[in-house]
Amino acid sequence: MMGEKIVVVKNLKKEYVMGEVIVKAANGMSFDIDKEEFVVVLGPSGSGKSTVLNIIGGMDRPTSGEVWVNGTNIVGISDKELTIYRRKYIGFVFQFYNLMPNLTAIENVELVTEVSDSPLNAKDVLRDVGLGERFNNFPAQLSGGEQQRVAIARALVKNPLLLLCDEPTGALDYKTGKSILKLLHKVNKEMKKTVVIITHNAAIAAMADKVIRVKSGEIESIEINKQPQPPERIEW
Amino acid sequence: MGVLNKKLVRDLWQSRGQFISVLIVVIIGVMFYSGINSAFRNLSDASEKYYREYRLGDLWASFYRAPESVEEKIKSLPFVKKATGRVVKDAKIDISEENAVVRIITLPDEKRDIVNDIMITSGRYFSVADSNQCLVEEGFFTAHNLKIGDSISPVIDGKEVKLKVVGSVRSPEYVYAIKDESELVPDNRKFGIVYVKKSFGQAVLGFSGSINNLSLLVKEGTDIDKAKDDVKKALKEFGVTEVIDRETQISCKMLSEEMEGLKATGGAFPIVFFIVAAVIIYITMGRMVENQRTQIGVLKAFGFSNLQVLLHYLSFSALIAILGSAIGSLFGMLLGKVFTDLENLYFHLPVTDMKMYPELAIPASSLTLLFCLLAGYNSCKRVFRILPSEAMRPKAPLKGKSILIEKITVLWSNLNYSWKITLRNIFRYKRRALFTSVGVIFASALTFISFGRMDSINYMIYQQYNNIQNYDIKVNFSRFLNMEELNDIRNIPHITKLEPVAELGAEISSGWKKKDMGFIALIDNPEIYKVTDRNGNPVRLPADGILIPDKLSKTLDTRPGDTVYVKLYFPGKDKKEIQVKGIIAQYIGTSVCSSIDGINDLTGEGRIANSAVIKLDSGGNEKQVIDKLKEMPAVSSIQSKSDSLNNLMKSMEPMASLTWVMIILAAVLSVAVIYNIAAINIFERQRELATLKVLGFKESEVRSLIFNENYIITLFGVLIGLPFGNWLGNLMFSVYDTETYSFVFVAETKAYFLAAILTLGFTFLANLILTKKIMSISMVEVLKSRE
Repeated sequence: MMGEKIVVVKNLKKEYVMGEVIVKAANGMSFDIDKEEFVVVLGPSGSGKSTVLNIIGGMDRPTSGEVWVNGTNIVGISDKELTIYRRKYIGFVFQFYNLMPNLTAIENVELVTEVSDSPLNAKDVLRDVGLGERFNNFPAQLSGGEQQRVAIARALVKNPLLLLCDEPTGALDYKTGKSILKLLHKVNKEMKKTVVIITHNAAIAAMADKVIRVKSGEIESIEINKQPQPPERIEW
Repeated sequence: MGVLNKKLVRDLWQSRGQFISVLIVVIIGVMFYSGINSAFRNLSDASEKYYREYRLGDLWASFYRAPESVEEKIKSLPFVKKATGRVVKDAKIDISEENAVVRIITLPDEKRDIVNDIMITSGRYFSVADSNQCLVEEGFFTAHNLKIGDSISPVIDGKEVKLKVVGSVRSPEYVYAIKDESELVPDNRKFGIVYVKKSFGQAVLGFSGSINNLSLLVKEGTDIDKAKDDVKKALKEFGVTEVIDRETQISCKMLSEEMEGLKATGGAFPIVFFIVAAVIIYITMGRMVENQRTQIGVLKAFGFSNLQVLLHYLSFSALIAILGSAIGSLFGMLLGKVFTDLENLYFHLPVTDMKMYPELAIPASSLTLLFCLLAGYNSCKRVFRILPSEAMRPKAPLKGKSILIEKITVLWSNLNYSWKITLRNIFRYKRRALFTSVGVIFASALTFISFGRMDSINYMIYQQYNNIQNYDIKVNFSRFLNMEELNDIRNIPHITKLEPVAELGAEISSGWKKKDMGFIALIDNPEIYKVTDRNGNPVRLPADGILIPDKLSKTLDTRPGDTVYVKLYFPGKDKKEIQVKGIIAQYIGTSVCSSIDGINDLTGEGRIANSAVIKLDSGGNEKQVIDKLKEMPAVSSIQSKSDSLNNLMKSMEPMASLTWVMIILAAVLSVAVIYNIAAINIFERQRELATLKVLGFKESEVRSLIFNENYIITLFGVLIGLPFGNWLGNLMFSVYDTETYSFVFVAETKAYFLAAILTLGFTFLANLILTKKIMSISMVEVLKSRE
């Protein structure tokens, strides 16, 4: 159901102690994400955007604040519950793909189905991301774009609640990057997945339903895009 | 190089776990090298000095009886430097509720330099006063809490003779004080040496004006074998029973065999540790250079020469070698003392000035440096190939590859992904896996040998005491008895069975080869003193002809059907040709075997025996029977099997504790290797591990990726290590497999299982230590960075 809030972040703070300095990566951020929304978190490097994504993804813990996902505040739960949370609800896509070098494309996707409760069919998903021909290639035999497609398929196959993408086009050339954006757009529109992309590339914001601008650990602005552009029209 | 050294220190700190574990392996290697070798030197220096200063004989001649003047005759032989005649006789003695045997040996009434002299450790030499003064060998003296002024009463010719103890002594002849070769370890309560004045000894032992033993020192460059023959000839008319040299004299032989064993262990054992250390260094350094290639590129780009960079990386291994040999040598000196003390529990050597041998650090550290630097150089030489421009570009991604097992679809498709990743990774880094398994192979072999060693000792004891010597009591007579005389013993209540035994010495020869050894005659179809083959099956005693032990068969190159010459050491008997009818196995002491009828053929003295073996109705009556036997004048000594077995077991205890020391060392080896190589594995695959964590794999599932790899390598190592251990065990035991004692390496099935389980346990331990390393991988940090 569009409009239902599936992520609610309240007054999120994250502080790192680096030697004698305390770095405030997130200094009281609050925002929410609706179901089936395409969200772009925009900010320069060091702005704290990754920190937020990591915390929502259950990879990191905040210093204080609340993070409600699907009705549960994940801030208070144990490490074990956090693992289950990642397993059940979160699909992650990284800038550098992070595939298992020792597993083929199909195996990388199937790997996840082993720990997932209600996975989709690995082959179907891999076909959906456009890699029907390259099931049995190892990551080293794939191009960067192809590897990112495998990574997206791996994130999708567990049928996650949230697809979190950290600079998914950051390591790719313009053309390939664009095709990945198209794929993510398709995932959002056709598979009805909630997609969160964090990037420093302001051009990508044009395709978002909601753009959250972050600067120095604080939310600069949250804006709802009345008319999101399809990725084909985006230029940078 | 100042800044590079700072980098060195920081790199070291970062990989301190790995550094310390290699260091420990090196320290142990060096420690055992200098420990065992200094124990060896201590023993060898002490024995050499002892033998020289107290004039240990070169030859010993025993005979029935000869006038004292024979000493002069022997002295006139051209090769003789010094000769001392004496009377040597065993006597039984009741002392602190123990029926023991003492060897009574005469010494000159007044102290003078003799062959086989004694070293007084307390009290004094004989005085002119009382004739019945005696000196007691220190082991027996302490075992029975004797004090100067006490008296002891051995039974000589059925009469108790009271002797007054005036001192305790040591003798180079009895460093390892066992009565004869049928004993394996000394029992100071059961056997001792008592020295008496010659005049007194000759009188009470019935040797007035005569002697039965001569100790000789020969001139330098004498051909010992020829000298032995000459002495035999010269003493022929006096009934020579044996002429032996240092190679066959029991105490000398046992000590030199022990030292040989020490020397072999001191050489081989540390090498294992050096090899393992070298393997770890080779792999770790190789990975370090690989992982720091960008840094190396930068260094080179800034003008550091290849040599400077190489030396920088080599200093890791050099540091390990230097620290390892310094610390190891230090501990080694202490360990040397421990080993020497341990040896001295069995060997009574006057190690008064236990020395440290700092100079042993030189070969130890050169050896360590050699191993470490060679391994370091081989892994770091790739520094030369790194071009700065190339090194600063990102590394080509790791290549995944299909492996052979995937062809077996049934197996492969049933494996889960964690196993698929593990297997492919092992085969991707075959060399690393193989090197890791080298450590595991050594560790499992070492563990296996420690268990197998105990099994083998138990096997030997079982064979000897349950299969061969199946008696409860053995009684020795002071003269030969005929069969009728034995009936007195047979009639003692509680004796259910008695078998006569004749034990003599003999010279067995075939062609130019000859050998002195025991000759034992048994009744037909013996049940309580059996002869068996290597498989423990009984061998029938032939009506005529002899059975020879397998060792002798090899020495003389004689097989059943061949004939040999036997010369019994029995007054007035010449050598006779006799046929070999079979080969037998013996474990403790070796002797040729025949039937009692067979010995009659050789001696013509009829069916005679000088000892008997006895079986009782129940063990509880043993004391009663022994008391009865003691009253018999013909009985010279009584041996209870349970006693000797108990003593043997007790003496083996320190050996058993050594088993656990060896196992701990094996654990150190195994854990060090697995820990190190898995640490590299974890470091290099932290991306994969972090990814799995993000994907929602549980900690245990993530860990199993690394741990399963370790277990597979361990299993592979065990599979090779056990047969290797068996081979090595046989090799090690062959050092101790001598004419006297037959040590065969017999490991029970249990040893295989225990070794396998323990080796897997070592890996489990290493995995436990690694858990923290895996847990601490931060998803956030690892996954954000570029490869």
